[in-house]
Formats: sequence, structure tokens, C-alpha cells
Amino acid sequence: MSKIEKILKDHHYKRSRIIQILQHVQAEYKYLPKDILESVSQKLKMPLSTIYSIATFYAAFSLTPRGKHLCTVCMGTACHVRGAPDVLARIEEKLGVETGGTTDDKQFTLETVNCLGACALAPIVVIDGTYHGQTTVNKVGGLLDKYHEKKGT
Amino acid sequence: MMTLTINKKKVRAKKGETVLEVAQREGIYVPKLCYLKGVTPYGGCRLCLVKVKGWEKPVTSCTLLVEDGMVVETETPLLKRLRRFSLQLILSEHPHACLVCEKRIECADYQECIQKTAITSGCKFCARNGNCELQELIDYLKIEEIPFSFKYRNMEIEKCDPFFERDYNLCILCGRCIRACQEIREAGTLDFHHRGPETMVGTAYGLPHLESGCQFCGACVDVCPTGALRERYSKWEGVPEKSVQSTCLLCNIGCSIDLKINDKKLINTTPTHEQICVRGRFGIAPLVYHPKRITQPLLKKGDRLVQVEWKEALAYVAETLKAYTGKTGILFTPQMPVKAIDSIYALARHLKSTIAAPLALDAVVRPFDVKKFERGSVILIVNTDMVSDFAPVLLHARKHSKMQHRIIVIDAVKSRVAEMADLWLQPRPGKESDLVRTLFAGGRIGKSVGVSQEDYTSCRDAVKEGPVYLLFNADNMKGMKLPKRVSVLPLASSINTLKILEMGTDDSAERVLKDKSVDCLYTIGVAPRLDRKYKRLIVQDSFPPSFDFDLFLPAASFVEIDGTVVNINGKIKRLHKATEPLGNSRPDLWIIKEIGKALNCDLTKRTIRRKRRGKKSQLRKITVTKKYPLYLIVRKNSFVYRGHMLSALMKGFERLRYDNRIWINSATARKLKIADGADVRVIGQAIDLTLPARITDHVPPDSALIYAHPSLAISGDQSVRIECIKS
Repeated sequence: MSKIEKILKDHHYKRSRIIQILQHVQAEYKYLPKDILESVSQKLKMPLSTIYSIATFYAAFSLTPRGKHLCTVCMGTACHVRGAPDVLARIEEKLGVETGGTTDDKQFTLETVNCLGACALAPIVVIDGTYHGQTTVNKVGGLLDKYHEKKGT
Repeated sequence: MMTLTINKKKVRAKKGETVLEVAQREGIYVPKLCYLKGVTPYGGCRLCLVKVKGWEKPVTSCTLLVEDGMVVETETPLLKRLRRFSLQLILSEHPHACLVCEKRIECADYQECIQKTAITSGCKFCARNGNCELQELIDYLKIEEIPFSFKYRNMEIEKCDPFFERDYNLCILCGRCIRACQEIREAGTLDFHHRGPETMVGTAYGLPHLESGCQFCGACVDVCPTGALRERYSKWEGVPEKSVQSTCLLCNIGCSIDLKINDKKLINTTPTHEQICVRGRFGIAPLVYHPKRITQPLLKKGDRLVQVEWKEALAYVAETLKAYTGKTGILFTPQMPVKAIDSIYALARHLKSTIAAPLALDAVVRPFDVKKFERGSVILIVNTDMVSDFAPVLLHARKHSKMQHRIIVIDAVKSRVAEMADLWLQPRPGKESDLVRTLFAGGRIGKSVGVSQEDYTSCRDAVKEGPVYLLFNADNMKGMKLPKRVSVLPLASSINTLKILEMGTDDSAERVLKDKSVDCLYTIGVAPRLDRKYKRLIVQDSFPPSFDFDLFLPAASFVEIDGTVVNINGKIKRLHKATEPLGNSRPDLWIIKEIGKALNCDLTKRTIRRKRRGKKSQLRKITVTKKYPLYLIVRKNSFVYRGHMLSALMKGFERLRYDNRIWINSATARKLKIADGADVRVIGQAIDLTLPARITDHVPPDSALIYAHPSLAISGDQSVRIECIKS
């Protein structure tokens, strides 16, 4: 059984569970590949335009391939006043990509988020689900290197 | 029943109705933009706000269900202020330069010359000027200024598709097109995408509509309140002055259509009350004013065709037909009024000529109303792509999910209806009739049919009892015996099919064309391929045929005549004249009557109907051989007007359907080294054609598909070989 068949079967081929299905697809492929969405559309008998509508509505879904590590910088009010724009600029410089982009070696994808609700830790950088609070411009380099090292080992 | 009060007027309402629906029925005007009858309310435009007594805040009446004893106000100063505010917000993203321009009144005189600009920055530059719901609301709410800064989205106008174009800079995101596409047409081509200020209407991945499964039914264009979606053909034709109800003759369903007239010219056609398809919506007006249409009688004098008056043309016909009495063959199209068909039969009888309408329908027909399928019935669709060709019928079948219809498709070719069907059996090409026969006769299915036993059993169980509606392609069902409870209709045939069957004449055009005694051929709206020479050739049509002729009689189109036709249900549908016949063209009936007069023949006398008891033909078995290794599937083309393929006349249809190409399976094409669009030669025992190829996965391996057409002189499946032509 193909990966997509299994995901759809887990959700009993229910159209109402399209968001969970897309989350699963994204967990499996790191993004939502077009051919996979086309086969989801065919198998659920659901218009591709509706799936595309959902996929573009939620910021959590990505239609372009993402890097191995997802780096999210919080740009909420608290993070903003405590220097998030500088942190973001430093990360952009370090990775050589703009917000929303993926590095050429497909290691990092850089994104921003409007508030994570953990303002006490501002400014926050989340890498692969791990929260790094009270980040500073100086700390960023070491932080990213840690993930680069992981790749080496 | 409930009672509520709207604007101090006591009104009655049913449970489940919305306040807006009740107000509309009672003649109380409530402004609205996103409301569309028959689809889920959206509540997006906020213009239909009403005040309900006891409720703190105004609510949108389109989403408000009626309650007993409700007291509703639709016009209060607060509501007016809120509506104005909402509309001003909507307009802040809709080009409104003309609205606030001080010269707008004088400007009206010059709008003709400034209309066709690249960017629509105001009403005077818009195709919908004067026919726009926003303009109506601006007048109603007396908006003279927009207190917000204007945002032009600066999106490229989407002109890549045929029939209509899209300027989403004018879109107000009311979502009507989306709901029409999803709920009324069940096509699901359009939806909102992205979020917040970036929200926009479009197809998945922003692909052209041609690649997104759009049927080009035009439902979205018809419901758009602004100029965002506009028909290409009638874009600058202005606001219609009047509308004439008539019938579309482009297929055998005979949908009611409204002919929109402006300045004595047909500008476009819209559905009357039910859904129509791309033919009826976008095909008619361009056909009537087609540049290739001939509107003058033409007579061959020497080597030249000369324009002549009707008097001379009719004298020539009368003389010729008289001289060739008993040696004349008449071929006519069923796409004309019943009376004209009767007269043609009478004329043929008088001239002792052989006559045929090229229906090539040689199968059992048990008519039923395609708008009323019995509850719980099975709709069996054989070799017909209902989605592309007969979507209005399919919508009737699917309208009530409560009715629990099951749609089963039997087709060797992957069609769009096969993709959406409850069950799709894909037999090997040519085995469809075997499958259908076994399905009703019982027994096991042979391996050669190529259908799994499991699928076959579930299909057989479904059609075991109860009503079954069989919609089929006649070419594949010759000599078929079916139980009484099966209603049978060939959808891919012409209007008036039932009329021609009732007349009971031989309907094979081949018989006339192969008749050696025929020296004079008179074709009426038919353009067959001629394999031999005739002494005289008379053509009565709107478009020139591919062969040389002696006389051309220009016939009027079906929007230029009055009359009646018989549709596939056996219902009589009316044609109403909307415009005068173009140029010097004349209705078919008039021409035939004039010929009758000149020949002293009484055409009013009804011909005696004789049921022909000919030998029922059997389906030919097709075997592929080494010499002819490919199975060629031949399908009836239902996009034909009077013997001319719509694709040959209008580019939009060609881009939509590719029905003038030979469809070749991609693996087969790779093997034969055929590229998409390349010219190929198709050679069979009886055919030798050259046409462009279309590479597709919809056709099964080792086979190809072609749409039958009189000018190709090809009928029924056959085995062929395909050769690539090297340039």
C-alpha cells in the first residue's frame, strides 16, 4: 500500500478530515506535493481547488519543499520589542535566505510566526519544535551551527 | 407555517426559510451582493443587514432563519449607515474612478471610444457598465465618495482560456461564482485561495481553466455581479435590450435558452431557468455571425461562383430537380424545425428520390424524461462522457442525493464521468456490448472482456431489479436485446431523433451516397465526404462544404426562425425568431416551400409513415491483426452544427475538446515515436486519413480514439495502423 493510501485509510477516506489528512501528508513529505494532492483529490472525490484552498489558507501548510530543519522566528509584539527583527535579520544573513525561503543545501527553511504565546521567553526562535527563548543576535550563530553539526554526525 | 412582521407588514413563512427569501417573496427590497438563489448563504457582503426586535445588533438576513413572531426592520438609519460603510469598503478595492469623477455625466457621450483600454480603472472602461449590480447599489445607497484610499490589486488579466476572461482586479470576493461552480454545477473548478488581504478566487495552483477540469458552462460568468468574469464574444456588445426565449439545437436535449438581443443583433445566449452547457452558452452567437457563414445564394457559372438573386437560384433548383426526378438523393440534417423535415419528406416523395438523415441510429430506443429519474434507480452510462457532453442531464440525475441514484459507467476510455461515477467498469475496447448483454442476460463474464469478476458482480447486482436508465452510444449497441424495465436513450444523437425514427425511413447516409442511380445530390445542412462525382450538387447550408458544388442556398440559423423541434424526451420545444436572417439567407422551410411551389408540388400533404422492417444489423467484430495492430475507437461527436464540427468553426471548442485529433495512448505513441500535435496517417481497411495526434492516458493501451464526423466518412470501431508523417 502506498504512503498516501495508508494515510487516507487511517482517516477512513472521510472528506471532513481533510485537514488532518493534509497534516499527515505534510509530516510524511515535509510539504504538500502537487501529485499527492491530486491523488487525494481523486480518491476522496473532492475538488482539487478546495484542497488547494485549505492548503493556502493555513500558514502551517507549505506547497513548496521545505528544508530538513524548520526555523521559525516569532515576530509577536513582545518578541518584536525585545529585538526579534534583529534576530531575524541575523538568521537571514547567516543562512543566506529571505523569510519563507529554503537554503540551497535544503538544510533550513526560515519562517516567521506572529505570536507563539510564550512572550515571557521573548524573543523566541523555534527550530524543529524546540523552543529557544531569549535569543540574541550573538546566540544565533551557535544555535544554527548546532543543527548543522547534527547533520555531520 | 409561521408568521413574522417585516416593516410592519405581517407575512407568513415556512420553517427553514431565511428572512431575505421571505422579504424578496413579499416584494420588500433588501440590498444584497453575495446572495445567490439556490446555494448556501455566505453572509460576506454585509449589505442585507436587518434589525430584529429584541436583538442588540443587526444581523445578515441571508443567513437568518425565520422564527415565529419575529419582528424585522429592513430600513433604519443605522442599517443604511452600515450598508453604506460596507459598500464603501468593498469599493475601496474595486476600481471606482468614474464614480467620483466630476465629469462623469458629460463623459457618457464619449465612452464608446475610451472603453477598450488595457486596465479597467472605472465604470466607463468596464464591459459591464450599465449592467452592474454594484452600480445599482451605489445608486440605491447614494454613494458619492469613498473615504478610504483605493487599492488596485494589479493582477494580470487572465486571458489564456477560451470563451471568457477574468479580471480579478474587479472581483469583490462575493463567492457567487465559487458556489455556482461547486454547488450548482458540481464542477469544483473555482475556490477561494490564500487568506486575509491576499484572498482571491481562482483554480487550484492558479492553472488555466482548460487544465482545471472546467466545463466552460458559464455559470460563474452569469452570476458575477461585476465585470470580473466576462464573456469574450459579447464583451463590448452593451446591455441587452430584449430577451427572446428559444431552444438550443446544438444537441438532442434541447435546453431552453434566452437569446439576448441588442440593436437587432444577437449578442449572447443565457440559460432560461435550468443549466446549459458550453454549446448553448458560448457557441450560438459566434456561430450566427461566423465570418465563414455564407448569406448569399451562389451559383456556379463556368468555373466561377457568382452571387445570384433568390429568383435565379430557385429557378435553377426547380429545373435541376425536375430534370433529375428519380435520380436525386437528398441528405438532410435533423437540426431544423419539424415542419421543414416534413416538407423535405414530401418533396422527396414527389421527386421519387432517396432520402436520409445521417443519424446512423440502429439500436433500440425507449425514451424517458431525462429530467426525472425514478428514485433509487441505476443510471448506466455506456461510452458517453456525460460530464463533457451532457452535463445538464447529469446534473438532473445528481440533483437530489436523497434519490439514491447510482451512476455506473461502462467505458473503455477514461472519461470525466467515469472518474466521478459510483462504479466504473473498464472493459477492453469493443467489449462494451458483450458486457451490457451479459449484465442483463446473466451468466459469467468472459476473461476477454477485461473486467474483474468482483466489479462485474457488483454492477450486475445493482441492475438486477428496479428501473435502469441506459444512456449509450448507439454505434456500440447494434442489435441489442434488453429487458422491458430498462429505458434506453442514445444521448449522442441529434435533436429530432425521435421524429426521424417515427418517420421510419432508412437513416443511413451511406445508402444515399452509395446509390449508383443518384446523379444529383441535394444536401441540406449535411457535409459528407463524397467518394464519387455527381452531375449536379446542390447545397443548402450556412457554411461552405469541403466539396465543389453547383449551387449554394444560404439557410438561416435557428435563432432566426420560428418553429418547433422534438427533443430527446419526445417533448415539443419551441424556436422563436430573435433576429432577421442574416444577409440574404432564408429559413430552410421557406426555401423548400419555394422549391415545392416551383415544382407544383403540394408539400402540405403528410407523407405516409412506413416502419421499415429491415434486417437488424449486428455489431461487427473487430480483430486487430499484424497489418492493423491498433484498435480504433470511434465515438459520435455531439459538438456538431448542421454537419460542421464546432471545433472546425470555433477555436475555443478546438482547444477545449481536441475532437479533430486522433487520441493515442501515451505508451503506444512512445512506441511509434509520435509527438503530441504531430500529423499522423491512420490507415485501415476502409479508411486513410491524416490528422494531428493527441497523446493521452485516457485511451487504453494499443488503441486510439477518433470522433466520428460525416466529412471523415468513418463509422464504427475498426482496426488500423498509424504512421508518423515525417516533414
